[in-house]
Amino acid sequence: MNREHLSALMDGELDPSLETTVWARMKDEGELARIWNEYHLIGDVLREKGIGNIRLGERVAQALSTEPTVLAPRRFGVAGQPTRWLAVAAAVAAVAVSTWTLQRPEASPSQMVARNEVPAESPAPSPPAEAEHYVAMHRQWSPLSGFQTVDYAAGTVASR
Amino acid sequence: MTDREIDQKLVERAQAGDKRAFGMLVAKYQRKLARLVGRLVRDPAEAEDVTQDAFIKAYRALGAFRGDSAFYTWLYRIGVNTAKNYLVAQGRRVPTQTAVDNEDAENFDDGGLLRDVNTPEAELMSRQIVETVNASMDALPEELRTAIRLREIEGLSYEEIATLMNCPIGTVRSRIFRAREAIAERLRPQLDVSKDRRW
Repeated sequence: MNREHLSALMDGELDPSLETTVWARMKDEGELARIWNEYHLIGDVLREKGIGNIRLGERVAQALSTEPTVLAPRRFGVAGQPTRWLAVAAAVAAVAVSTWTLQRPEASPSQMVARNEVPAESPAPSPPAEAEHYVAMHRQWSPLSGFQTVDYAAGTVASR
Repeated sequence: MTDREIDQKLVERAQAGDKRAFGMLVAKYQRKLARLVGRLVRDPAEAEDVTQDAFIKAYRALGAFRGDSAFYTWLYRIGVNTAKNYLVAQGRRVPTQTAVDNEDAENFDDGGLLRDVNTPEAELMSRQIVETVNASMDALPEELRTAIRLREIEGLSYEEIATLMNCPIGTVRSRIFRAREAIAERLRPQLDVSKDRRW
C-alpha cells in the first residue's frame, strides 16, 4: 500500500474507492501498523501533548500477545448498513403484503369452493338431535311462556 | 470516513480476530489514555501499569462493544474505572467527583500532566523525541511545514488547507504525507523499532 494512502486514511481524507484495498493491506502488513504508530506519535508531539513512555505501546502489545484472541459475533456499528437495509426491506415487504391483501378482489363462493377455502362467517354447528328433543319436551317450563319464540329446530315457530 | 468510523472499522477487525487492528487503536490512544490515568494514579510506574491493564480489559470486553458510543468514550470509561479500582485495592483515596468524571471523554485533553508523572527514563526519551520532531519541523520546506501544522495543530480538513494554501487537495495530501515521512525518517533511529517487533 502507498504510505500516502495511510496518511490520508488517518486524516479521514482517503478516497472512498481506495478504502477497501487499504484496509485489506493493513491487515496483512505489520509495517503499516508501525507507520501508523509513528504518524500518531508525530501528531501528538506537534499538538504538544505529553507523550509519556514511548515503550508503553510495546508493553501493551506484549501483554496482549498472551491474551486469547477475541472472536466476537459480527456486529454492524456506526455504518450499520446491513441491519438498516434489512429493516428497510422488512418494512417494504410488510407494506406490499398489506396492500396486496387489501386490494385483492373478493373471491366468489364458487371460487372459494373451488379453492376449498372456508368463508369467514360459517353457520354455527347444529346442536345434537338429543338436545333438540330435550328442549322441545321441556318448553312448557320455560319462563318465556306467552312470547313467540323460534324453535331450535329450523323453520318451527311455537306460540306460548 | 470520519475518525469515529475509522475506529469502528478497527474495532470490527479486532472483533473478527485481528489483534493488529486493536494494536493500532492502542497506538492511537495510548498517550491520551495514559494522561487520563495519570490524573488519578499519580505514580508514574503505577499509572503505566493501570493504563496497560485498562487496554487489556478493553480487549477482553471488546466483544461487548456495540459501537453505540465512540470507541474512545468507551475506552475512557474503562480507564477511569480501572484507575479507581486500582486505588481502592491499594486502600488509597479515590477522588469522588473529579474533573475526570465530569470531563467529556471526546474532548479530554491534558498535555502537561503526563510529563509530570513520567519516569526519568521515559522523560529523557520523551524529551529527545520532542526535540527531534521539532528539529525536523524546522528543517521542512515551508509548504510542508505549513500543511502539516494546519492539519495536526489547527485540525483543518484537506479542503480547508487547500483553500488557505491556494493549491489542489491532492497537493495538500502529498505535502502532509511528505512532512510526516520526513519527520518519521529522523525519528526511527530513536524509536529503534524493528519491523517484526510490533503486533
